[in-house]
Amino acid sequence: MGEEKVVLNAILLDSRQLNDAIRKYSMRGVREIVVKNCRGQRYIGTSAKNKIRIIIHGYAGNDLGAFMERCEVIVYGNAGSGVGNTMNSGRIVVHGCVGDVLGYGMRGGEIFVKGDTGYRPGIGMKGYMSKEPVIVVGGSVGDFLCEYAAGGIFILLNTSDSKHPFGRFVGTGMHGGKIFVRGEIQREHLTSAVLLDEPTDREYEQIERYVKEYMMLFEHKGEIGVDGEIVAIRPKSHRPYGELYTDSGREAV
Amino acid sequence: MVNRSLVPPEFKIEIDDSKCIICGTCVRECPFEVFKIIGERIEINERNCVGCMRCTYMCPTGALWVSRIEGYGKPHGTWTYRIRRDIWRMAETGSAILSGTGTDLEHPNILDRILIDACQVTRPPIDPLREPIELKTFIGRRPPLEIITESRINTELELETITEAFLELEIPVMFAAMSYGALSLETHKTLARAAKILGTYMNCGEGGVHEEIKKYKDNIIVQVASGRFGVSKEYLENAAAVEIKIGQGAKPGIGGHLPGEKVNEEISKTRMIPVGTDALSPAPHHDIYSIEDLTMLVTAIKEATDYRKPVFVKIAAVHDVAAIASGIARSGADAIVIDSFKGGTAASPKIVKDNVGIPVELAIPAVDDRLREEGIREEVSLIASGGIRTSADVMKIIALGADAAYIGTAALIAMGCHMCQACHTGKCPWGIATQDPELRKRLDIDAAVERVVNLLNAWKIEMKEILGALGMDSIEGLRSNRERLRGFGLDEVTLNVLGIKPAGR
Repeated sequence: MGEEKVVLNAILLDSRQLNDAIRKYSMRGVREIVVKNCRGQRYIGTSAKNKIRIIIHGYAGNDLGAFMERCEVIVYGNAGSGVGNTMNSGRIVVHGCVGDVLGYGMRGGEIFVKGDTGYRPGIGMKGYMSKEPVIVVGGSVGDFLCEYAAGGIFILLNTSDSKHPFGRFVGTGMHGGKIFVRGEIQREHLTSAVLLDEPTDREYEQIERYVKEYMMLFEHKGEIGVDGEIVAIRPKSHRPYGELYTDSGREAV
Repeated sequence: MVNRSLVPPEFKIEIDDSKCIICGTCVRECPFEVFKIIGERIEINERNCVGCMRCTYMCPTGALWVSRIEGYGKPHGTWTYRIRRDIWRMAETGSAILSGTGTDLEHPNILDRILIDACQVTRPPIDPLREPIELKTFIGRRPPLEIITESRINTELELETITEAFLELEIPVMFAAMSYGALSLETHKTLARAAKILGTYMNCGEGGVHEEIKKYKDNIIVQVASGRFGVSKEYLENAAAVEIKIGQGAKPGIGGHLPGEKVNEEISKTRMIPVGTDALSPAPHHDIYSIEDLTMLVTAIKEATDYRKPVFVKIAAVHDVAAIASGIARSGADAIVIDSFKGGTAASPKIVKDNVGIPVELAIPAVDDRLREEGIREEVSLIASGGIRTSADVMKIIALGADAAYIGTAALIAMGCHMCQACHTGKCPWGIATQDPELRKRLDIDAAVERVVNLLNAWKIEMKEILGALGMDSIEGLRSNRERLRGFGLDEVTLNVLGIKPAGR
């Protein structure tokens, strides 16, 4: 067995050099890699071979944890766009804000973001069998929340009690999964693919678990009230495009 | 309310009563319920007929014949039968018309208007029976980077060669992306096995790879489309190459859509979505809005696969294809796939297939020229796709600037596809584009593999004959060798785009 923990100073490394190092150490059986002075290097976590923990100090660049399997990534700082892109399993925790396209096509694992996210969060999330990806965002999110989502859970805690927790066009083409939003919401931004509902008791339990987890991870001071304050946004159909097309020339058979 | 349909039948079905033994084969074989046995005779519902010819093929006494109704009412040059049918159909349903395969409109085919040169007297042709002619093709960045460094041990110079990941093809033809979901598992297996035998590759499309064909991983190109179905590290690693699908010739700028009815237990496993859910691939990749964004996805895939797999980027041939391809060449991709508007599909809105995009035979020379002008042609391979029907098409498109070609429909026709364009119904009567367990049995994998392998082996002979006639011993020498092509009955502007002379010059 090699070392348990490795500290990398990323100040002079480009993305490929940093990821090569992570690949190498993860293959050697290192359990934890601390990346210091991260300054926007991309695809961190993508190259990791085994289940490891990567702790990043600084700014983690785009596509953090893209295609990631099993690893745990903790960022003390902000992260760029494409966090958790097509991620399969594992966990990403960002002690700050993240850019656009959070969790695109994500199929499993968990992402916790302390602050806000940009546009297109949770696009094309998918749930399948035992896998149900979960994204928890403490702040607010931009336009196109959960567009084309086919599964998964998006929890928007809106800890700053903003009157605008999300942007426009919520759930275009959404046909699976669910969104839970705490506090007031802007109904006018919900698209025709989704409907407003209340969480079930089981869902409330689930939400409470993730709220506790959020508070613990980010050492949140004060309460994040959940009881009766959460709305559920659900897709109306699993077949949003069922009526759009016909076949040419024959009677339906 | 629309009561009685105005849409006329497209096919006429005749049964020769003197031969018909009322065995019921046609009733069983037709998935569209055209035939019914009523007492001592067979009743026909011609409206449902798609013209797949399955009944004619299977009828044991040869009593059945299906023919296309060429006219219905008064012929009209503008308001053709096809246009009238479509108007009626849409007027009755209020839905856009969806259909399978590439456009059936008779667009001019430029490849047919290009002729290949041959050697006479001054340069002798090569006899392919006597001398070896090489069809081997490499896909990927070339030539390898060569870095000269001073040796640390002594004063001599050392040559370090850095080779990027590439694919090696025994024939410059691969099987284009067709997903499991659109196609049956048997069809996918056929393509995978044929690819292995032929020393080429099959692209699995965006529907993931079924357990049973994972063993052919060294001959499989996996696709990453906007829906990211089935995409995981394991999926990327168990492949010879990865293709990012930006667009498809049959539906440029349109997303993919596998209807929920087709998402059964097995499909649900490879796509990794629940049974019965629509599998939607949005029109754009929501993480790609620029060449810089594309670079990120290319690099993320390379990071996930340790830079061991070449990454292709597939786009539909559209108006400014040369500028787009130039960007892709700079994104770090190893190959660019350009798909013609004539390319096939399991389902695409008919209006899009007929009207959107450009032919690949114009796109390839435009892209080849542009990349050469910019000095980056050797950094990527070009793969032409869509409407490639013959070995001559392959050779012409290579001489116009491609490195290799993808075929899809041609391979399916070899298996038994009769071009009835009903792929989108999921009831393919030949067992190719269906998930129906009974219909799937109609494709005999062993026979289908043999047919596909035979077709490409025949193409190999044809290609070697033509290369021999050209006086060439390798297909590599033909690439972008437009001097060996001539246009026949093409206008000056088209010749100019193609970069070829008219026949006679």
